[in-house]
Amino acid sequence: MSRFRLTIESNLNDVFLVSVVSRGVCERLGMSAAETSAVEVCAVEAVTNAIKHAYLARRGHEVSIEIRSHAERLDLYICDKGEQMPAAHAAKLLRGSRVFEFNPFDLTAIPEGGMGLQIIYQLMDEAVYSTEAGINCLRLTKFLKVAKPRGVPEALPDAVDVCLEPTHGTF
Amino acid sequence: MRFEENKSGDVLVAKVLDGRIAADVAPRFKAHLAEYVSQGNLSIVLDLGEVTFIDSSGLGALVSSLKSMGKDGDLVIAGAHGAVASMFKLTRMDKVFRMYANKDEAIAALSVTALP
Repeated sequence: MSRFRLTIESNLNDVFLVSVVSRGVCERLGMSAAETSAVEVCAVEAVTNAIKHAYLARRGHEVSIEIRSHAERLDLYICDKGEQMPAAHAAKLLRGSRVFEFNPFDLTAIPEGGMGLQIIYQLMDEAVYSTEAGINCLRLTKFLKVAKPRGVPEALPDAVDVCLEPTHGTF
Repeated sequence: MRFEENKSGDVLVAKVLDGRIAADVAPRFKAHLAEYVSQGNLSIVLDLGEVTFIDSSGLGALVSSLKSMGKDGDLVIAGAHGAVASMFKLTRMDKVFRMYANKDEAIAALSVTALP
């Protein structure tokens, strides 16, 4: 098992770093373009949720993203120390919701929000949310289905940690 | 966010020049589209050809803009590809927005719609 950890400030302007890292890891592992995009968008949705809902969009807190690659699967752990996700929302990660079952011809029925968890539910193979000792963690799992192309490393370098200082501004 | 705007008859073509539409820019994105509507543009082609990433916040901003236009307005999508097109399909937003391969097809479709 290899792992990569990124810690960012609870600042939506920094979430693009999650895209860069998750995409880079998936590509390095030889995952398909569709799987790579799926992992990227789910990682972004999860981190955005943590910033918006766990930290109520307040800056100055940490969100960590740890990516662990195994022979048969990729796990992402998105963790924060903010408000716990309501049980009803966490249940959507396990059972899904009907947010996309709208009538497209009824403008009022089309959702403007509440889509992130369902996107995760549909794109990831597993999504499990838990809280322990004040730390909320969402584990996202994607089972690896594709053969790694020649020349692509079997795994990431061991235990790489990246911790970015809070920027308090935009890049 | 950066946009490039062109008019083709009554149709406004707004090309998004940034590669990402995510939560950090969604409020500005929504405000920009609202400005088009407040200027009287009721037929808008949003060219997403340069966009490589959109999340639920970006889609939500699009839906909000569509709702603000009401039944008299048209907001259609051109050039969505790859992960962006997949997101529209996954969320069924491809059933909400008319999707065209490129801006020329979108302009032609809206121009036909606008005929008496």
